[in-house]
Amino acid sequence: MQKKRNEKNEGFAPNNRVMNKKPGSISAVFVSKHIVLFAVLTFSIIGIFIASLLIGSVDISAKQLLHALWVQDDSLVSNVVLELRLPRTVVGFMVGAMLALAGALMQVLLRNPLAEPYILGISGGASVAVLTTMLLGLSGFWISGSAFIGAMISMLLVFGLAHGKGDWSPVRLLLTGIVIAAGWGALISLILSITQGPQLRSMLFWLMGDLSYATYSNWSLLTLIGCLLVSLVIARSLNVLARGEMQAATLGVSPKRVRYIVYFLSSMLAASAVTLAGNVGFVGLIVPHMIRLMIGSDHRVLLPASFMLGGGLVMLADCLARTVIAPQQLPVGVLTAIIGIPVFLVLLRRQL
Amino acid sequence: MSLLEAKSLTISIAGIPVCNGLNVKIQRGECWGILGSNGAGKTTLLHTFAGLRPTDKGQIYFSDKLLGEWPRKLLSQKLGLLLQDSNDIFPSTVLDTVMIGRHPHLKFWEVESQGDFELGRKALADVSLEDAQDRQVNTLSGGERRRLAIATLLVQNPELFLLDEPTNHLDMRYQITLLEMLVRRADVRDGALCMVLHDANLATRYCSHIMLMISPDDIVSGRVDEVLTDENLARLYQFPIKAIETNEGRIFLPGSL
Repeated sequence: MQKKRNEKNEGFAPNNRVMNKKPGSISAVFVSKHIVLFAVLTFSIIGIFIASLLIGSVDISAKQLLHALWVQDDSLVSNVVLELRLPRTVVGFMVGAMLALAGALMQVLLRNPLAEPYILGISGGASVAVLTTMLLGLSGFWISGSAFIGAMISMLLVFGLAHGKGDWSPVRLLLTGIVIAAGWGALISLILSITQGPQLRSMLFWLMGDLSYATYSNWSLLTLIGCLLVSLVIARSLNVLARGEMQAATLGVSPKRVRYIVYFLSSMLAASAVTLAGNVGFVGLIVPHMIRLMIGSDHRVLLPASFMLGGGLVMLADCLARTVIAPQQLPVGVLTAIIGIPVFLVLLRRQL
Repeated sequence: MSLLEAKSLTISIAGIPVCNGLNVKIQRGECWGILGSNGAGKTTLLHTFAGLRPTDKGQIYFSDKLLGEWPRKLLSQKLGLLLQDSNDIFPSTVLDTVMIGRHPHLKFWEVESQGDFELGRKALADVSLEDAQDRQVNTLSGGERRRLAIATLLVQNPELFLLDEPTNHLDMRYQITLLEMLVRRADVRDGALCMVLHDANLATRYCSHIMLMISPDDIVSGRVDEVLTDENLARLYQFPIKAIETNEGRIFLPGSL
């Protein structure tokens, strides 16, 4: 088990593999530190994943779970696991992983520790589109479709406006994004204020981040895996870019090209996450900082570790959202904050 | 073959001219000092030499090839720039920071080898930061940060060292030891240095050539003993400056108005 776990970890931290061949050095100490982190993350994710399949309004034993997964008959247990809990758990992981990865990327892009996936108005654009769709009485596919289109419109709008006369500085991008996001915020308030009855409740749930209608899609998985791989390829360039554009340029990184890639990656991730589950807050801001507090800012470790911690955190939050006051459900976005804040504060205290 | 050559170079920043038709050649083995009053455009000129800014007119050649035609990554293996300031927003250790100097030497899929880490630790030892390698950068003092930035440049190991006020924040001991080391390192690579300085006495001590940015149309450059005179300095800074010949060489003292 131990060996298997380590193999998986090394797959996520490509820099560990080579350095590990030379034991007894100081860098080997660094590596073993990361291996512990990735081992804990992997173990926790597996644990939360299994718990998420077992726990809920219908209690399922481990034996029943295995049976349902192997046999896949038409029993109640099988239906609950395969049709409801498994896709929801997987989507929860994907949403968390997307947001944490997008947050880590956005923070380098804007060189601002306060940056998060929604800061440039991605979720605002998606929200306005979704609320409009809901106001028109449409549901199902229309919700996720309009979310994605709204997010893309916002992404292109900010990109175009921030570009100006060729200068694409982090400050200009940040200000443009924040202003556009504020505009979307005003439209959201407008729509909420003219909506009444049960529609209002589903709108509020969507705005707080909700996995209950989330459906798994292969496109989202492809986006997630693709963005993770590309971001790992440029991870060392991000280490350089985090020290400033000038410094990056003197070290052979083309800041503009890398920043275009990062903008595209983080926007796609944020848009996909919003499309899947609405505005799950907090994960994208805090998870990268948690990892930084633990292992520093090497993006070759930070990005995959954020990916895993973000996914695990949202899975755990959703697990609790379904069970704390069952049969009623809570919006997952509320739970991510309730779990994440104390953990983050403890880490921060230990560091300082 | 000159290492860096500017031909009728005209540059400006925010509409303010920095130089008009500047011609200068930096040969291997030379050490250039750039002196000028505040706001004369010394940093802008240095950034242009590093290929970070476009020129208005004229060309810059590095190793006889137009600067713009060099692939960015290949260029950064041969040309390094010490920026005036470094700012670190995200937490990072001293060793991690110095290792970014290896970036241009590694392919995108490669990771730092044990040998690269040796280079990093050696560079930290060269600036007397070897005991600080696990410290967070934001706990360093201004002078220690400056030494860390110099160590990063040593890890980058270019042929042409462009230094923007390398002695900023450094105490007397480090001003001397680090400048001497940078000159030595450039020698080892058969390269050259070009640095912006504010201290004419450091310039006399280490530079073979001097560029005085008196005005955009009047940039005096040449050998240090010919150019670095009290008259020229007084013209440069619009301030009385006195030269004193000593056994240790010529030193300059500012007078008063």
